[in-house]
Amino acid sequence: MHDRLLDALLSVAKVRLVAALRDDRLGFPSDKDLRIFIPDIHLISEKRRREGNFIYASNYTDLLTTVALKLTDLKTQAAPNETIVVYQLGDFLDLWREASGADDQLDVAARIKDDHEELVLALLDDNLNSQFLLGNHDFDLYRWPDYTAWNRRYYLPDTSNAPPSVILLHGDIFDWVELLPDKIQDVFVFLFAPRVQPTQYKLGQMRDLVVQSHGSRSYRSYIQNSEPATLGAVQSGEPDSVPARWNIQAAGSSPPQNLKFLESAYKCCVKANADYDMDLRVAVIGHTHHARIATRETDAGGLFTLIDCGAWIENCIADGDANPMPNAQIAALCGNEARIYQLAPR
Amino acid sequence: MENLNRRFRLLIVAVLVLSVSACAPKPVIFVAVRESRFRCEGEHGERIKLPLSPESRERLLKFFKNNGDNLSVSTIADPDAERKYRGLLDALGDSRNLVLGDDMSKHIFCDVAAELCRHTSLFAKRQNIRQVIDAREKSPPKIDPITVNDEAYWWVFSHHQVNHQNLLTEVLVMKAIPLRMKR
Repeated sequence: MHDRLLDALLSVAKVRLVAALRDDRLGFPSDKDLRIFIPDIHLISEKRRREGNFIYASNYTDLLTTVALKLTDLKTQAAPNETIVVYQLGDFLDLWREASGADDQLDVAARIKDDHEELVLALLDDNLNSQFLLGNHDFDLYRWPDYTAWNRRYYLPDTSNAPPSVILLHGDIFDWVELLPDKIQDVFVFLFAPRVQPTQYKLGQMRDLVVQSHGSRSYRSYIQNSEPATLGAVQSGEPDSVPARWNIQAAGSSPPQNLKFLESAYKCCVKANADYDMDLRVAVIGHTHHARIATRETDAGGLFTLIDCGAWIENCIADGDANPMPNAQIAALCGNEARIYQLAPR
Repeated sequence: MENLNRRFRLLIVAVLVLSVSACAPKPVIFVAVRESRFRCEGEHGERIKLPLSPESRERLLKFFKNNGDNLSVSTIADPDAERKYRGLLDALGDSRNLVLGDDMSKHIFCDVAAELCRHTSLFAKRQNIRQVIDAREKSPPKIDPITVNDEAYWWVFSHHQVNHQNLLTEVLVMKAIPLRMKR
């Protein structure tokens, strides 16, 4: 199914392999089950982009629309015994940049969607049935009727009662782990515990934490990365065969920025496994706008993997490239194999 | 001096009231689509296309004359309906009045649909609400409609971008429920 996804992407975009990892320890063995991850997009209205003097706008929105339509085709053509699910990992809409802080009237989100009609219709198409996470730039949506189905985390595999091995999060919790450690206990349970649903009051507390993490930042000059994210050894041409292991970041061989959140994610998953009887060994996130697969050995001799799916905003640079390129990444997980692709218009 | 103290006390009270109201939870504002007898729709339950055709205009006018109740026994439950809605229905029949402004998030409907509001005072100073719950639909709307209340009816307008211009494309009208009782 990975190859079918790659063929679909190649039919509409230039594709480069950012990273790949095939390993039985990923804990997602089914080769009939493909999960596709679209990271942060950070849409704002055109009027706001102009008036707010934001340096960065979402990259290649037309390409992303085409990709979403292609994914819908892929999904509708899947065999009855196959599963294809597309996830948007949060920060789809950037309410924070659109309105300089939260607005109690949801007009902010509606205004952004008005300006990106084709992309919104493609990504929210019922046939694609994308699953959305709430990010730290659109967390406020949780209170509104249109976004009732948007979630704070997903677990995989989700087709049996077996303990999950993969967690999908936006990833901003790891900011809190590192910057606001004393606050994390209050919300940890609502992001990691599979059987606990937060009350409106607790969600309000989480929102307060999100607001606190934003501080007074306006995000005019950048959101996450003032310099292009360093992707490492991205394949130079279009992939015709994908190796079992490509451009994996690990302690000792990778620069520290390529290992960001690896330790925090590992520690959170170890704690969640102990507290809630899970088997988490993979965390799939967005948030950092830095696409990479980073791994570390676990204390028990296993493998822990952080799949950071990148973004569709800000820039990145590959080893050996003279110039940065706009972030435009998609990741996928199937048959114990994870891949991240960098896309560009044909 | 006593006067000054009194003013100071009033100022403190005002500041406290404002602080408390700012901290109070804000209600989520949305519109729910009503039962079919209180909705005016096209032939097969679809929304009415804009600009209005003569048939759609008649359908809406009949609905208003029935006081927003499709099962009304009287065919003219609201004798004033034609006078009240004639101008608005005429305006909805002309595509030039369906053009919207650049920023549809404005809280006042007529700041968004200024062309339409030039022909009617029914929506003057009325709030623009973007969240609509329609339990008949599979999912929430992808592009949120703009919705306004004229006291008697909710008007739910769908819109669409054509050549970078937002246009009203469809309308659903339904009988409003009074939000407050007068005492």
